[in-house]
Amino acid sequence: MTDETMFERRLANALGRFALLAPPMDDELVAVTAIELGGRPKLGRLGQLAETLFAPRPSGRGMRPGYLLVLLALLLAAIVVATVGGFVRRESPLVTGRNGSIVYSVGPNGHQAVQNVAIDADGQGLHQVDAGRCPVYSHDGNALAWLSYEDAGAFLLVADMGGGVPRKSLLVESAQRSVAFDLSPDGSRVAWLRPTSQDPTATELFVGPTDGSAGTRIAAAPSGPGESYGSLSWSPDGRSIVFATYRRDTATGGSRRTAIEVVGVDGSDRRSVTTRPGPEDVLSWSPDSRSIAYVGSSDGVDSSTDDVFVIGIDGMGDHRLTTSSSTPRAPAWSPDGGYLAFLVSGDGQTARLATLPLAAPTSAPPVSGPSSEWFIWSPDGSELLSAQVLAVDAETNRTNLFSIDRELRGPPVTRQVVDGLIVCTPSWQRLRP
Amino acid sequence: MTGLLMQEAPRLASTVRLAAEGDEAAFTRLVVLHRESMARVAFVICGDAEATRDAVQSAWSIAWRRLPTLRDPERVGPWLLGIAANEARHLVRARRRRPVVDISETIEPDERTDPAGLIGLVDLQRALADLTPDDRRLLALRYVAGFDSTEIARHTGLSASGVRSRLARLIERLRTDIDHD
Repeated sequence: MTDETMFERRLANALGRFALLAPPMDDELVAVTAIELGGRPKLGRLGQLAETLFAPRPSGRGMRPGYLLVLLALLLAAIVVATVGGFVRRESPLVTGRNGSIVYSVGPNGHQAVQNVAIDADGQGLHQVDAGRCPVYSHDGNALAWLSYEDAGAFLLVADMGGGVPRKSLLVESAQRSVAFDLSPDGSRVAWLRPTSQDPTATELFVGPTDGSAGTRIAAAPSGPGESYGSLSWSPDGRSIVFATYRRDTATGGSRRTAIEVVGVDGSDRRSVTTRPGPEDVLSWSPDSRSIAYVGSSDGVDSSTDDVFVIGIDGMGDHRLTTSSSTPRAPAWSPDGGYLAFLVSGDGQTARLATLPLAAPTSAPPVSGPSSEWFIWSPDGSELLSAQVLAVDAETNRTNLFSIDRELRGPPVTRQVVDGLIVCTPSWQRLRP
Repeated sequence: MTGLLMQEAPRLASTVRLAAEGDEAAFTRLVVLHRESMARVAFVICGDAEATRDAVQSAWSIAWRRLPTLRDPERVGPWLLGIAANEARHLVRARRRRPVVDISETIEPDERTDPAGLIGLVDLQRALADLTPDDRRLLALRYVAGFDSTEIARHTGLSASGVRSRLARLIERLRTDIDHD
């Protein structure tokens, strides 16, 4: 053994002993402080929308001259249309719309707090949005909602795009974990999962208005041991909510889905759609509110591989759409109902975008596209917005926000290059045609 | 042992996923599991207790914010160690001072030097104090975190071959400093 090798061993030994002198710390205090300093969703100042939601970004690409005036004109037009159309029209099925602004949350490089920004549909313009983390548009594009955690409570805030003070509703008094919710298509109501007072790991399904009034329980907590609800999604026609029951494996800590159910928003007509097992994943309504796309076990046995399925909300017509060796997840119906998009990944591989034309023969394989962290459909259904992350070094990330046509033929078109990470899936505002 | 490890991996992955979703109890479990190893890495770079605590705290704040972006939950350990090392390096550079705390009082007498040829910790501390924070980070990631050159490269922005050559020069320098004194 050479002197160099001998010395390296001695050095490793000494460094190991030296490292043992590291000071002790209170783990719980470290965690609490990290959560406080690390940037939890907080209520931002949000008064008049035109003045605060889309404030000019102080640096970067900046606001183009006249953009705010155009935006205000569009918002004014939306208010007039909404007022004339009335409540009933807003609850009617929503198919395709025009592409509005895209809002997303960025965790910048350099340890700065998370920022919400919005860009317009073609990727131009960049504006700060004064809201809590991970805001989402209502399906009709007329409201923007986010969660705020204050004094242990989880609150939902809903800002009408026409302006005014955001409406605030208490969803969970003592939130031990993030709260799952979904807005009604017009943003006037919310469905959420509330922990029971007896068992905080068990949740009940509630529906209530977003004006702060009390909600109503429409599904009691599941009765099986280790079971909980998840994956709730409000139907495009505003009448029903789909949700899943998951069973936690106490040995592994993982969860598998055991059932998918649909219930009327008033708690009536609750029925099972399928008991095909599957992974923790989203459930996607068809635009006509008649079917659900989901990922489930290929042959109905929990240990088998997963594929994408479509089933009617009456539980009929369950059929498999993929037979891929890759694992699919996050299926999402295009706004016009013509395509399903999802992510596919093999063992240890980065997920890739995939789309499947639903009018094609069922044997047609899905088209695979570029690698992708997540995706969303454009409101007009013509393209998908997605992102790829480049790790420049351990602390510096660059996110390429790109769009691609729904057949995944063309090269990805960069919309924005973000210095940092997009911390949750963006939301794309739907404007009426 | 293998069976235990196979059970631990999905449990850890599940904990990471829950923490990424905002589950504060799961996040606290991660702190309990990984805080100590992060502190050891940070201590080699910072050289004093106060700076180490600050670096570790800052690293966990970053981890809380960025957990949702962690692609492979089972690699949360190396990911956290990398953040801790970089935070410690940033902190020392920002304070623009070398660690000057006298650790001799905290070391047991028989650890100062060792008749079996071990490097004395006082000598090691003095030699570390003469290195740059970047160099101490390399040493901490290699010999305390146990990273190979490829993993170090991922966390430092250097090439793997660059890491190897820089480590070789560092070892030679330390051998000269420590053994020839």
